[in-house]
Amino acid sequence: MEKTKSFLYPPGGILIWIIVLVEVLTFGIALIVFRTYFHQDYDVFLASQNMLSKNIGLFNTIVLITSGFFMATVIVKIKQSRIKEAVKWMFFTIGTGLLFLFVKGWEYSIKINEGHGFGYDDFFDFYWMLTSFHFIHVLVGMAILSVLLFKLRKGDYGASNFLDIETGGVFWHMCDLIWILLFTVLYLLH
Amino acid sequence: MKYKSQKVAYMFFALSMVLLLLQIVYGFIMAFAHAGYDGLHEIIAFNTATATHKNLLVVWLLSGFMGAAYYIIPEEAQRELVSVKLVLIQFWSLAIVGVVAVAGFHVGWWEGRKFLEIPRALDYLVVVNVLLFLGIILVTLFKGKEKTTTAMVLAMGLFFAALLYLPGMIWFDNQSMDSFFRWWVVHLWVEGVWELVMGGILAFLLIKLTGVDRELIEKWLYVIVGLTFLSGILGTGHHYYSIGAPKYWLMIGGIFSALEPLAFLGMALFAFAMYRKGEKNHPNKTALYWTLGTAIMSFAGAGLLGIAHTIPQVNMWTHGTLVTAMHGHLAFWGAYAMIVFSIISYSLPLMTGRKLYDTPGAHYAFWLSNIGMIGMTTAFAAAGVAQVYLERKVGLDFMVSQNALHAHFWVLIGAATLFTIGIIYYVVNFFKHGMPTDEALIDNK
Repeated sequence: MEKTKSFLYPPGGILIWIIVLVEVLTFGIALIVFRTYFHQDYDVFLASQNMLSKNIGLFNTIVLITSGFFMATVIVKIKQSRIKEAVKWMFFTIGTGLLFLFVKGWEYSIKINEGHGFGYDDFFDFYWMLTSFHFIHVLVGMAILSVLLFKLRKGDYGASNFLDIETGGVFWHMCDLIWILLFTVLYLLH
Repeated sequence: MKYKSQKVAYMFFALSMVLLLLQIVYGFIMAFAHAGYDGLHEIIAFNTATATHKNLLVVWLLSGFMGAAYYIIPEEAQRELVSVKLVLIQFWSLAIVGVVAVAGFHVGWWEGRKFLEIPRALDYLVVVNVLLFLGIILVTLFKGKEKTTTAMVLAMGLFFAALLYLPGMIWFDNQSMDSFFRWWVVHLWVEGVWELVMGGILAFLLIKLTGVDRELIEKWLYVIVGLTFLSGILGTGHHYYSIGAPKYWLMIGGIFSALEPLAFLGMALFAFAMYRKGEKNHPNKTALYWTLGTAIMSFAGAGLLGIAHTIPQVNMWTHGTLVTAMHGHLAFWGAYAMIVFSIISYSLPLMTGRKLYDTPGAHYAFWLSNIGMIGMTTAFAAAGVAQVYLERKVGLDFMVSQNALHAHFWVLIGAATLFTIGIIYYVVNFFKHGMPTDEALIDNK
């Protein structure tokens, strides 16, 4: 009892929340710096921003939010001891994550073919750095979820033992959150 | 002291003390040269003095880390070191290589690369020496009864420090490429893996001095390790400004450097939280002073004074000026010198059986050295800002602007004298403890 009250109070444990805080801080600083540069060189940044496909960005935003909803469903099902259903929703979560990576990869290939790679201009330097850092986070998230899925199928988790799943869930939601920030600031805000 | 072989730590600590005194001598030579009195120029030119000053620092800190590892690892692994004879060989070869390297600087035997002046032939000896050290530590650890997180973090830090020595030995024909990889040694040591060594020693000391549960202390050690790697690796970018590396390093370096103080802040909060939670009845208050002092001074020196000039817009002006000396002095003192002093203050009474920790000398050592170092840092800060203004805003020639800074160096010399008195108190206290003895062994149960 003592443990849940002090050290492990937030869902998933305090350590994952420290990670979330630091990650949001990192991307936050980067986005503030990005906005500053945007204002200093408004026309160039605006022209480059208009080269991004807002539809692809929006589609991927919806995909990740949906994935987050699936992840939340996994935890609801585990708390109800419906492990088989939880496994099913975990597959959906990972599946939508894969879809995100696939669409993002497709968008990357379009940008490279257009010649708008890393080093094209300051806007695209930011675009490539921030989205590829995020891409790596989604990859890591998928690896975490895959391990959780494996252990879930083995029967390692249940209604009284789901801390790891919550921790993984917090990480996965962090990926949504950061993407929403990136989509808003990189694709839309000007 | 629980194991006989822990006594070998004493030799490494003693070597640290001697080299530290020598380092201070070279510091004074340079301070006087800056103040206009460069009388030793023909024998010890400024570039020789600065190379000697910095290399002695690195060697005495490494010697201190090695001593710390030889003290901590047996206690954590719960067994004797695998071979005391090999430790003796390692110690003497370290001392000889160190002395030869420093002597070589005075006759022009060096590579001329800042911080990595040691000639290539000696580099190979350093590698052999460090491999021997790691071998002894790792074999002891893996043969031991326990592999605690504290011991693993400490060993991991030392292992990666050894690994990161190698990029400095790769030959490049291109100056920018050479600088790029040179920083892997220098930066990734002090802002990466050395922080792990520091975290490991800090965790060990907190466990011993505060009596807080190992489980809790080690859990937070993971957070510090995480923060260190997250910020420190890409934070290296702040050394890539204006050396010919691609422009995007301005962005990466700026952003990740801004996070670097977090690792040190984490360590400071961690140390104080554990101290407040603890029982506060350990008799060695001097060791506790140094330990908590490390937490504060490393955050101030490495964290805050670091971020003071890693932002690209600021660094554009301060790059390679005395502002760097300001940060460098308090960072090395606060983070690494003080952690070595902490482990010495803790372990020496246990190795020798002489409980000299609440003597006036021990207190003077702590306060004078710290106040002196803060004074020195302030003098460097004033000199650095003035230098940036005169040299880079007004546009005076380098030597002309240096001539205008003499007054600041007299302040520096005054503060450094205070600092040195503190250090002398510490060293005298060190040798007053006498030699370590088996009579100081306590029951393992």
